[in-house]
Amino acid sequence: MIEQKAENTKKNKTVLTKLILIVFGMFGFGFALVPLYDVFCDITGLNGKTNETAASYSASGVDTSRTVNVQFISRMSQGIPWKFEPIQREITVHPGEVKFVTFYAKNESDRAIVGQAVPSVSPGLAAAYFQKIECFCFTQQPLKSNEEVEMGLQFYVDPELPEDISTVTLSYTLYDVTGKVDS
Amino acid sequence: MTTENIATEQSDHDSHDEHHDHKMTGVKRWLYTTNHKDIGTLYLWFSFIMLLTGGALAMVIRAELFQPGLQIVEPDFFNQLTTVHGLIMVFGAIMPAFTGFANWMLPMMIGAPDMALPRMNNWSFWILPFAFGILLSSFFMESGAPNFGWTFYAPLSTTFSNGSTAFFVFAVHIMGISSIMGAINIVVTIMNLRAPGMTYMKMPLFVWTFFITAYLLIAVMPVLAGVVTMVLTDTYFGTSFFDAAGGGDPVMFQHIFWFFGHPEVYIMILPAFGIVSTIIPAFSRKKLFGYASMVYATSSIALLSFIVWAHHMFTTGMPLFGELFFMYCTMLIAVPTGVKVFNWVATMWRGSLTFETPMLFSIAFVILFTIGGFSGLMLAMTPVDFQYHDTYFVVAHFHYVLVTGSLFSIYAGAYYWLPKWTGHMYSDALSKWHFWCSLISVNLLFFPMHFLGLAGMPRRIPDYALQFADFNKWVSIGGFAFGLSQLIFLVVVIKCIRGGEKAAAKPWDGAEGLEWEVASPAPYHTFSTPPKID
Amino acid sequence: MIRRNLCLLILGSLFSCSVWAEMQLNLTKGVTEISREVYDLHMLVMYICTGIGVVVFGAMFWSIAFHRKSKGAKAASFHESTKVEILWTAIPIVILIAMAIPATKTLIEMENNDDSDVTIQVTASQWKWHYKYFDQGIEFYSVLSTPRDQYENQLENHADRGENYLLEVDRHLVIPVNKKVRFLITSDDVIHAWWVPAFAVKQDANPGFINEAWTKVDKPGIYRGQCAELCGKDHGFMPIVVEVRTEEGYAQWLDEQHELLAKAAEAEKASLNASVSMDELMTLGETTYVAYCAACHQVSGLGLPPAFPALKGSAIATGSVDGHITTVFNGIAGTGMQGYGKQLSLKQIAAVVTYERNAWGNNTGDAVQAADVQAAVGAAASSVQATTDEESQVSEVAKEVIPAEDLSKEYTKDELMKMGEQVYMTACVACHQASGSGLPPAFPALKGGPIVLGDVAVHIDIVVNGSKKNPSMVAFGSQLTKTQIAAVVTYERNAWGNDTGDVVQPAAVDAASAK
Repeated sequence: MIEQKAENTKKNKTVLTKLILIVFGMFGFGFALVPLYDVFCDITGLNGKTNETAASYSASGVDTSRTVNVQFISRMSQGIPWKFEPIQREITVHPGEVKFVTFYAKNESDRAIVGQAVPSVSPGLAAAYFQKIECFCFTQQPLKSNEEVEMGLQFYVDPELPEDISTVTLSYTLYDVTGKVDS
Repeated sequence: MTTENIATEQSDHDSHDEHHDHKMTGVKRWLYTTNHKDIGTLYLWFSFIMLLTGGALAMVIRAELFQPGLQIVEPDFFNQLTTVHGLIMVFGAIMPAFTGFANWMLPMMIGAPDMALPRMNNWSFWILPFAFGILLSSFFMESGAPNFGWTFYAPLSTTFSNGSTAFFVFAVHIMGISSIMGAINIVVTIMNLRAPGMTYMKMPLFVWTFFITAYLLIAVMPVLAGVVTMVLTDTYFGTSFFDAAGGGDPVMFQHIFWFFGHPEVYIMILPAFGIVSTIIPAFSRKKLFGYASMVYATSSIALLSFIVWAHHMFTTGMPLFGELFFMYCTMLIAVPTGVKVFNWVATMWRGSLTFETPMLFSIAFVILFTIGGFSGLMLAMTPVDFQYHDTYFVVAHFHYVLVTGSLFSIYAGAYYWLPKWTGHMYSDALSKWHFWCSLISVNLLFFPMHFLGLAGMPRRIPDYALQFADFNKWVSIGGFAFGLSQLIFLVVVIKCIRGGEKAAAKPWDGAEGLEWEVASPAPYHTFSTPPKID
Repeated sequence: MIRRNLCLLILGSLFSCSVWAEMQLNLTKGVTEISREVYDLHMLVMYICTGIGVVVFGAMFWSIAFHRKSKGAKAASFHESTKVEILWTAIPIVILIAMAIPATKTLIEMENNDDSDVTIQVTASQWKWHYKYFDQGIEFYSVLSTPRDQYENQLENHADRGENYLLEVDRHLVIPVNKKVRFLITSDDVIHAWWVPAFAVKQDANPGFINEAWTKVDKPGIYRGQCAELCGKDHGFMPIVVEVRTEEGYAQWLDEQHELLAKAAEAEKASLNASVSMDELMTLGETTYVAYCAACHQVSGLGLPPAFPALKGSAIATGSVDGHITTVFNGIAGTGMQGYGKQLSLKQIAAVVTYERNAWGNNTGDAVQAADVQAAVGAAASSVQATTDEESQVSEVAKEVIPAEDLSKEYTKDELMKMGEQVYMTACVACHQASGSGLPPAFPALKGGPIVLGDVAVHIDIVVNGSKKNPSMVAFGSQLTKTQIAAVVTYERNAWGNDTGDVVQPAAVDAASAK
């Protein structure tokens, strides 16, 4: 009877340890979902996020047989007293062709503000094919009071872009990140 | 197992009682108890109190929605009501009630003397009141209670919250720890303390469903803990998990939340399947049809629940293949669920039926849960979900599943085992009143919601356009009636505890299982020596 | 007697069917091809479910009726049958496939956002919608227009409600009939959802991300919808109204809007010089306050702390005027306080600031004029919505007309270096960086680079025509003038210690590009 109890306690401990490990593992998994989600989005374009660091040009060539309309949209998040807009609102490109467009930004307040533009591509599926070689959104943009700047975006649309997509919209939302600038 | 065994076991047990039955009295008995029956009772009472609390909040919601216009509450307070109502019903009423059943019944059903980890059992209950104390106390603070819906979508719950986020997160953490401890206990008990000879495939289906549910809990409650932690750090410590400005994504919140949230839905319904699968055979006087397929169906529902989460998010802007994948997987769940319903009907088919209150609640469960399942199937179809999503159609759907599903099964189970718990029979007449009042009012409450949703009424709004006025009036009346009907249950239970016809060890002639082999009320210690199963 | 009357009253109100008749019981068929397909799908699933329900519940009720113990039924002993179980696993699968096929078809159609005729940006914020016509320069906010006394404090108020109670807005979204209209949906703060049942369009508005949806309506009319994702306090008070017009009607509406914009811009300019009396400011301020601010800060100015602070006696409303103006104009990041610079005219902002500084016993005595607002927020005020578009049009025109160049002009090295630095900082810096060290390997360093230190003609050629080896280096020949190119080449050859001493004149660029 007593032996059996001891044996039971031992058995219980083994199962208990395993279950607690699962609990901690799943807690960790919850956090692991964050990078996993990013990887998943990169592959599938789930959330329309584009590459966050410069891509190098790797297209097989320019596909002149079709054109893609690229639209640019700029938005200010609340509380950022900047003017921020695309200089060209819409351009037509051939897949594989490298294009350079500029955005105009001006800090209209009387203090220095650091802005961060966050891109989003729609349809989300196109995000994986929208390659930015150089973009002002890769870094933060510090602007002094009344300073204005033209910011460049160099990109190409991968010729692998699915045939049924002929319009791609790139939206930038500008956030005030003065408070949390990377040191 | 034979009766002789029982007799020896009982006498054996009595002789041991003197030295290990130091039952305390008064408050201390309940505070320090490690006895599975005491803890089960605590869980059940706690969940009933929470049911009434959450119900009271729902009454205020329905009173506000009785007429168009804002009469008694402000929109912000309305949001606090819907949020806390949801949290209390999910984490405070349904889940603890099932844990209560598990505590009371599992050891008796598998022939174990107690739960495997009794002291942890005590802890897992006693931290619960604190969790809900914290949650409810936020109503009386300057910030007010959480007002972002029980699904606490970021950034409404982070950057734009009213300051109650910390309380909310702390409360959810405690609830989570409590559920995880409860679940661990269930798993260890079932794995280690089964009576000799009770193989897995000989366990009652009730035990199986709790076993699977406990695994689901262990798998997903930590994910909930993770996501609320991220909400906490986003709100107060400057991280940007869900903030686009810092490279995060608010939609990711929904993915992680529903990765927990969808299995959670099955956590609240699988035990109900277990209870109903126990009761229907008992009153049909016929063995459960397709025991093995029931076990497999339950397991496959549990597994599928991990790959359907995004069907809550069809409108968030997913790519086409994502929508298709989650639509197909969700529709697939209809198959094992259908198998369960067919099996219950087949169990009743050519049985010898009687209609005691537990059976009435179980039959109502099968019909009304199936209606909830049908609307679930409709919601699974992505193109149509664009119309149903976030309307009263969804409200109707999940209340059919959780109220006439989970809650009705809890009532069915409570009536079924009350004689075993109290040693008395409950008042049959009153219990029938409880059943019929609940049945009629609950349908008046939730059925018109389908039409409101189809006609275009969004959920979580404190005021609505005029064409919805008449239906809302009826829904509110149904709501008040359903709320009041639950007080009948309180009377039935109190009367039953205080006295009434003496219950036999096995008051239901068709019932099966080890729990009926011990006396009614069940002695404080049962199966100190494990019974032998042939 | 009183009691009886009360009973009658309650019964009467329960059975009043006046409005009942108006509520449809089923899903709307809607006015688009997609919405009709969705409706058909809905009916299909409903019929299938009803059919299954009849069979399953029928069997169950049959048992309940005929297999009761009281009727002497004896329980059979069967409890499994592999055949039956396989059958009722297989049949549902077949039914599900039959449902999935049309659903997949409709979904594929719904997700095809391409080839639209009109594009409209839909931006949600707490608790209003903002619409911007992509090609037209027209943008406006659309706000609930049901008066507050129809829904607030209904225990005391008994204002009559209109037919479209809570489903009416000040400005309709206008779209043309039979055209594919594409919506780009996003949000400024929390998640909202744009839903018009008649179009079968429901799409979440996620802050920082854009979502797409489209519709092609085949019947002119007015269609109403609501926000469908909990977005805070006034989630129930941000309806959507879409007016679908014939093509001519739509064109006419566009003209009207352009005219209105021009007028608004004029009025804005006029208001800068006008001095408005305190009384007038307070009156206009109060109406503006009630319409735009009272939802959060309350008519009483007491707010709903802590999320929405009181204005009565607040530090902002009684402190510095400029601080107050910028708060209203720009909003406060990361809080519920939006910027109203784009929503209100300068005059309205002046009025509402005046009102807030003098109402509820704040009595600062400040009268704020439109010109003060302009001064406080600086140049930003000139970019109010009425004028943004004209400005950007002007700048585009200016870009296209390349000013006549004097190619024979000789510049000094200093002039070229100065101009060259400016050009470099706009056209080249993004890739080659201000330091000239580039971002290798895609963007090679210019500092000490072989091209920059090598033959001048090759250097000019690569700037004018781009690189054949590296497609990242695009041609600037059409983007920059020859003078600018000369300047930037000079700059690159002499900055960062390159010190070649070369001075490139516009004529040299002209000669090189002629080859």
